[in-house]
Amino acid sequence: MQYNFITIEGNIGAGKTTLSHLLSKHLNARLILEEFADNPFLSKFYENPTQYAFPVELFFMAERYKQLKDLMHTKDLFQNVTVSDYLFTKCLLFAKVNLADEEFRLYQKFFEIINPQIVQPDILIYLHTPVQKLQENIKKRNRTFEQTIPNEYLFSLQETYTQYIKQHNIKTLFVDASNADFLGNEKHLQTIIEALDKDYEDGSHYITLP
Amino acid sequence: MSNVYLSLGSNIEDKISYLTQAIRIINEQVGKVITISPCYETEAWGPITQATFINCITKIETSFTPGKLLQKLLAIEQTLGRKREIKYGPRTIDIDILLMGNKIIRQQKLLVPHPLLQERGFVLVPLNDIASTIIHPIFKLSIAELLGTCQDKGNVNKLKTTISL
Repeated sequence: MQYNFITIEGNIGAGKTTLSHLLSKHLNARLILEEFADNPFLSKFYENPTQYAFPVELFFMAERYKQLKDLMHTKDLFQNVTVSDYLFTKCLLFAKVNLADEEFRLYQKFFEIINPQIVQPDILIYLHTPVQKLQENIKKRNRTFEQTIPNEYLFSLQETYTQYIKQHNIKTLFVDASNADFLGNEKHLQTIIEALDKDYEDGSHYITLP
Repeated sequence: MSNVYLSLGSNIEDKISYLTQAIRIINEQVGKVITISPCYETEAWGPITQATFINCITKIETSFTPGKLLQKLLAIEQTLGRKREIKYGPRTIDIDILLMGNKIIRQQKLLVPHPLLQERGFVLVPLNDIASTIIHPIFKLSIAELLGTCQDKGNVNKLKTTISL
């Protein structure tokens, strides 16, 4: 496999972290996971989005920057494969959905200062999951603060992700994850692993799971 | 012969000129152009600042197989010089196959109907202008019905400029 840095993205509840765990284990890769539990603003944000959107997104940007910067400064980076369950661009993407215009512009200024210093993945795996399935997954994992997420919010995020991938022609394995069961069905992980053995041009390459 | 709906987009000036050139080449080399939708503008956003996109839909008649059609469209994208110098940067022309009659194709390089057709304002709004009653072969809903449930339809602005052959 030619990819040294693989990022898995998707909406809330798409299964990013599950797939990242399995894939990193299979590839014997270093694993970078979003540390959402440390964000002191997150549960407040879900109760009162307007008031807490800015600090919640700012906190995430700082944490993601720290994690990904550490990654760059570790010597053996390109001798090992790394798998992460988020893109740094995720900051801007969520900010676009959650912040008011003026706040977004301020956030974007910070983002543009930091973003050039961040290593971008060699390939993106995007898990595309229908909103109803996302809601089922969110219910199943039962994080208290996530239980009242409205469908419209998930739709907006979905749209923002797919628009980003399309407009920027990101090299992406675009996975139809409507039937995904990476833990229960070995063939699903196998499909992803086989897909990673190939070389791709920039843009979306669609993958369906058996 | 099958009726094919193609989505075209550009975000390098002169966008209208690139879209027109692409549609003319399609008409000469791929199949007869039957209808061209109005043009719509969509804002670009992301970590690299880009110009806005202009999108439109064209309905054509072709005798090409799906594989041959895809190959031909990729060649046209390249002929029109899809700029590859800036990674994840702007693009002169982007062509997607949306629908081919009632065909359902599930291959790695080609999915028809296009998997994101139902989610994109810049696809559904112009498609609805020229094909509102066409039924999506998987969802069994008309384009007008799909547009009704689409969250993204407010993000496009209709332009006065139209494309003709």
